[in-house]
Amino acid sequence: MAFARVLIADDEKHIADGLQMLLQEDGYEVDTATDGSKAWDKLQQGEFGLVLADLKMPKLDGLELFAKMREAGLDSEVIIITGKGTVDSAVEAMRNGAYDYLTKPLELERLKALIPKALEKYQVKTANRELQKRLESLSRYGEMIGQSEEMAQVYSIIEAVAPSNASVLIAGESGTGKELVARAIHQKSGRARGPFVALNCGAFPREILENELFGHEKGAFTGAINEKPGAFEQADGGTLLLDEVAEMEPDIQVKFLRALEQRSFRRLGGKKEIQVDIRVVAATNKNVEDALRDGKLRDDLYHRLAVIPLFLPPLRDRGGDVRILAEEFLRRFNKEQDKSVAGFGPGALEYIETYRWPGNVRELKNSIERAVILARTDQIDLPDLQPRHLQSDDGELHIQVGTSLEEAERLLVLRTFAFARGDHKRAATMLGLTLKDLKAKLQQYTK
Amino acid sequence: MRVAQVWTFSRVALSTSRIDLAAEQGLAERFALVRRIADDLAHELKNPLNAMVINLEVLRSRVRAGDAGAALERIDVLEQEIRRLHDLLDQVLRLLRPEPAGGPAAFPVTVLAAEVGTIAAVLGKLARRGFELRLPGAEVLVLGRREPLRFALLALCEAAITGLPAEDDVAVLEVVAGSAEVQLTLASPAAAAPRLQGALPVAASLLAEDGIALGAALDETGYRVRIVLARATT
Repeated sequence: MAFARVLIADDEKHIADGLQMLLQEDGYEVDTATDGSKAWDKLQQGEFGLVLADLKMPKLDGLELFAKMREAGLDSEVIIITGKGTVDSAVEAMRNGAYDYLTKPLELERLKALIPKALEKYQVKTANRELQKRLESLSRYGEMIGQSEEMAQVYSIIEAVAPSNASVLIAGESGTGKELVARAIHQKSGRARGPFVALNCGAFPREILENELFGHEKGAFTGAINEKPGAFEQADGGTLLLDEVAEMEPDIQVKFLRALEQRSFRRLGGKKEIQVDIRVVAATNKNVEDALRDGKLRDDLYHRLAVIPLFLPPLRDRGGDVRILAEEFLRRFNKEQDKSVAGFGPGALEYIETYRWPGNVRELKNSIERAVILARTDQIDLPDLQPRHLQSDDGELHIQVGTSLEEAERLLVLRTFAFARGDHKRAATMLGLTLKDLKAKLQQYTK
Repeated sequence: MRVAQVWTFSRVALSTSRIDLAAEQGLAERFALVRRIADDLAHELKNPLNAMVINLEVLRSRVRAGDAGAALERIDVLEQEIRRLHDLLDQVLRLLRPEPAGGPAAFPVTVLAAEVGTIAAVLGKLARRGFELRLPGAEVLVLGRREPLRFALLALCEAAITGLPAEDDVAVLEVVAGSAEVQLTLASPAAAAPRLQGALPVAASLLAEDGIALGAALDETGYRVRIVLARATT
């Protein structure tokens, strides 16, 4: 395994050979290089978890080798071996990310203790990098769709937190897919075989919400002709999603916090403490800071829930995901509606890509579903999209500060084309482009 | 590096007052030189010591495993490293505790050049520059004082090595014995000339007291400094 491979870079043959023998006895795969330049060659040919580099070497010294490795993105751990007079340089290397430094003559016990730790760090780094790479290449994660950098980060957090029991607070605008995130956390946790219960706290008046959360005993109130378990009990052994948690009344928040901390509660009208084993995932579309400041969300409850805070980006900030989602919804609704809409007509996809989608993925999904149903030809044309969009098309384009000129131009061209309802000639005139140039740009942007 | 066969040296000459001044400066320079070289040597001492610590551990493991052949190999390595450590320590002690002053006498210049070469090789290694020593096959005696010559050669070698612009460049110290005189020539690429010229007054002042000639020449093949000594027979 690459992480158990060690490269010794030292121009002192007796040192390099001796170290190689000692480390091989401990089960490591060891290679040696007699100067920094040869070490660099070996690093390019194979993967090493750790490099033991002498500070003073011909061709390329230990620090130069380390700098070159980092510049090239090689993240093998590096331990610098140095004489006393050059310790400052080695300390500087540590500040720049070298694992450690050792002074000559080596304390072999210390070296032998450091090596497994350094290799373990490399192994963890490598595993994380591979996971990150895998997640970045995914256009699907659980029921979520999207391969933007923003979503890759969300996937990465889900992957990291799912196996734990930590509470998660998902913040994001309406329609961003908070429940899908909660489901993914549940599916990837050890509770996947247990129940997943979702409760929208904003959907119930105070009394009913309490009943929905904790359940009631028979006769607890007028009409309580039977006992009823609440969401806490239903989610026992699984995950409880509390959506719109900031909508909960303060006194219910107190009861909820107590139940959360003690993992036990009483049904309405009940005397018996019921123990539950649940993981709580909360979600809100409110600005959490505002909710805390306005007293809508209790500070102590927030800290209990937001052990892991997770922000779900709005669709307008998810780069190319809009297009992937639009195409996925087109496929899905073709199947559901038994239609054969082949794609998007002129201006439609450009409109989808540049519209701000305030209702996020939910709005896009509804829009495509409607368009598939209404499509009069074998493609979705601009008029098939929700009329509300077209009527409210104010001809504005929002571009974030810091957007590259290239991306800003792309958005401007697409938006203008959509605003012109797919009329090439009109869009070209508005943009001050020739018809040929506009078509070339559109082809480039939509390929 | 090719050394020119025919070349003209301009003698580095100093007036009496300049000799006195240079001697004073030379003393300060000499202390500074000793400090620099001693630092480098002390740093280099760690390498044989490190090799010994590591190979001693390997030896222990080989003995435990009953592998006599491998153990003997490690003993050879340890012997070599002990010798290297001894040589380096010897050079450090010579620098810090020079031989007592005395009059000119016959001494083996080849041995002195080898000692200087040991130090110069360390300086070259640490500066990542090349150094080469060329000695005649047999021991050669010269007449003079050992210590001034040692420091003059060290000052020149240090200047030549640190003046080399590139890692592949090499400074060469060569001892050539004639019937009546012995030439010690330090050759380097022309780019090292400014640094070497800076060391010339110190070297000249060290040698002037014994009337030893020092010359320098620059041509298309490089920069050379030559010291000419009277050969002794016994």
